[in-house]
Amino acid sequence: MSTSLLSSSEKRPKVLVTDDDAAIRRSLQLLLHAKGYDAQSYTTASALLADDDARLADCIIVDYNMPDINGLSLLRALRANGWKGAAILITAYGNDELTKRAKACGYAEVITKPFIRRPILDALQRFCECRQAGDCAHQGGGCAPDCDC
Amino acid sequence: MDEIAGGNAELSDLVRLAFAQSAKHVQLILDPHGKILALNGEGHRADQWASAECVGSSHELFYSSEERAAGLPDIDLATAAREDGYEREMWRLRRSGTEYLSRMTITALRHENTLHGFHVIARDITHEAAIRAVNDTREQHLQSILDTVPDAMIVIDELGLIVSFSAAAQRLFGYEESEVVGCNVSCLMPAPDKERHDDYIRHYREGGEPRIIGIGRTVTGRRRDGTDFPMHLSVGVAGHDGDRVFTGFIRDLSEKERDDLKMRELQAELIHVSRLSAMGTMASTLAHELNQPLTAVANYLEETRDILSDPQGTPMAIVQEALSEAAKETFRAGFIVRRLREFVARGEVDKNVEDLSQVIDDAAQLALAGAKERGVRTLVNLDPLAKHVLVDKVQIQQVLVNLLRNAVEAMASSTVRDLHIATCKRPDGFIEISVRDTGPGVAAEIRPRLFEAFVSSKIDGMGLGLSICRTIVEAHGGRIAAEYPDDGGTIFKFTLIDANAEEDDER
Repeated sequence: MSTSLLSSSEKRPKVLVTDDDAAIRRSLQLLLHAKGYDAQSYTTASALLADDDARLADCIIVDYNMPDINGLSLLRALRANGWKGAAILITAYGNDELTKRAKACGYAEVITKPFIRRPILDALQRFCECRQAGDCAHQGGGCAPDCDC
Repeated sequence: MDEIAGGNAELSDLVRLAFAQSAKHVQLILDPHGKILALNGEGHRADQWASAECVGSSHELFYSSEERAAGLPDIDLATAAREDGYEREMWRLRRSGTEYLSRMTITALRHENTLHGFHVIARDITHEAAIRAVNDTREQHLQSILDTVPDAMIVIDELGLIVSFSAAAQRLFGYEESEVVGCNVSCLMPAPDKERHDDYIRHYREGGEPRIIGIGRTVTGRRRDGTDFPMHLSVGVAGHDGDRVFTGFIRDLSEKERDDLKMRELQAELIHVSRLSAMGTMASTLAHELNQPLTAVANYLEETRDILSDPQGTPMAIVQEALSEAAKETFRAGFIVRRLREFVARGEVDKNVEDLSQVIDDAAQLALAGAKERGVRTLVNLDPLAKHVLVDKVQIQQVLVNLLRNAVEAMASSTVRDLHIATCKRPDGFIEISVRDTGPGVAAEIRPRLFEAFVSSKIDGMGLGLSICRTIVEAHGGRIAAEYPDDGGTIFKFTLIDANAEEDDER
C-alpha cells in the first residue's frame, strides 16, 4: 500500500477536480486529500472558472465531457487567464484523436476511465517532483511551445 | 455559568456573540420552511458564504444539485422535526462551488409544542473521511489477503480468547467464525496442549523465552468433529503489554503426511517385492539342492527294498547302513526346507480375495514410475465383470511389476510406445490379465524357452523374471503365456482364479 502524505507538514500542492459525476469527483477528492494534496472539487466547470482561488492551483483534473463547458475549452480559458499549472484530462471515451487535441491544448496527461486512480497519482507525483526540481521549463509540463491556446 | 448567572440579558448577549463569532463550523438558523434567517461567523465562515447573499433564501443553497433534485432539503427538515437531533453526512457546497464532506446536525427549535425553526450545524469531516477511506482500503486489502492465503489464520488476545478466525481456518477446523470468537483457542487442540495453553501464554507474558513465537513448529490440531491432524504453526505478536494480540498461521500437514505415508508403504512394498524376487532366485537353487538328498533317499530306499526282497546272506549291517544314510539325507532335505522357510518367513504368503483393479493400480504405480517421462502412453481397459481375484496380492503384483517393467524397457527404442493393460473375465472361472507392448517382440529362438530360468533377451538380464512369474502364476492355479501379434510387439497373458466365479455358478 502506498504511503499517505497526510502527516506531511510541508505545503500541500493544490489540486482542483471537476467532474459532473459526483461519485468520481468525491472519491477523487478524498483520495487526493488522503495522499497529501490540498484537494478541492467543483461540481461544475463554470464554478471552477468563476473561482478566483482556482488560479492558485498547482494542478487541475478535468473531466472532458461536462454539461456546461467541455474540458478543452475550460483549459483554454484558464490558460487565457495566465494559469500555468499542469492539467490532467479524464475521459470515458479515450482515443488517439482526443489525446492529440488535448495535448495540443496543453493537457499533460489524458487518462481514460475507469482505471484512473493509479495513473492520476503517478502523474501528480511526477508534476510535483518536476516542480520541486525546478528543471522543468513549463511548470508541470504544461503548455507546449507551439500551443495555440 | 455561575459567573454570568447575574442577568439573563448578559447570557443571551453571549449566545449571540458565540453564534456570530464562531466560524469553524457552519451554523444556520432556519424558519420552519427552511428559509435562512441567520448565519454564524460573518466574514470568516468556513464555507465563505455571507449573510447578505443568503438570508431570505432557502437552505437548499448548500445542497448539491442531485440532493436538491431528490427533495432532500425538505426531507431533512421533516426528519429533524420528527426525530431529536437528526444527523447525517452530506457533501455541502461552499460559495465557490467547491464541495466538502460534512457531518450535519439539525435540531428542531420548539417552544410549547410549536415549531419555530431549525438550528443546523455542519462540520467539515473531509479529512477524517479521507483517513477512513485509506484505512478501509488497507483493511480490505488485508482482508483480501487473509481470505486468499491457503494458510489458516487465528488471532487470539492475551487471555487466549479467539478474536478472529479466517475463512481458511473455518474450512480447516470445521467451525464457523461466529462459533469460536470469544472461545479459548485451546478448544482447537488436544491434550496436553489443551490444558497447558493458558500457561504457555502466561509464560510468554511474564517474559519467558518464546517457545513458538517467531520459531514455528509442528503441533497437533483438533477439528470440530474430534479428529486430530498435524499442522505447522507459526505465531506473530503485535501490540503492547496488556493489549497484545497473537496471530497464528496454520498450515495443514495431514495431506503431506498422507503422501509421506503412501510413499513409505510403496517403498516397503518395493523392498518386499525385491526380496521376493531374490527369493525366486533362491528357490531355483534350493530346488536343485533339494533334488540331491531326495535322489539319494530314493536310491537308498530302493536298494534296501531290493535287499529285503532277497535277504539271504546279506548282513543286516548293510541294511542298517543304507537306512541310516537315507535318514541322514532326509535330515539334509529337512534342513534345506527349513532354510527356505526361514527365508520366506517374513513374506508370509496367503491368498485373499483382492480387488483386481486395485492390485493392477498399485503395481502400475510401482512399475510405471517415470514411464510417462520416457514417452510411454499407458492405456488401461478393465473388464467391469472382472472384479475380484483370489491371490497373494504381493506376489501377483510382483508378476505385474515384472511384466510392466519388461514392457517399458522393450519399447525404449520404439517410435510408438503404447502400453496396454487389459483384463477379461473368462467363462471357465478365470480372469485373464494381459500386458501388451509395442516393442520389437521376442527373438524366434528364445520364444520356446521364454519362461525358463536363465533365459533372457535383455543384455543385462538374469533371465529369472519370467521364470518367477510363471512359478507364481502356476502356484496360483493359473497359466502364463506370450503371444506375438502380426502387427508387432508382445502380449503377455496370465490367468488368475476369479473370486466371483462361484457366486456366478450359484446364481
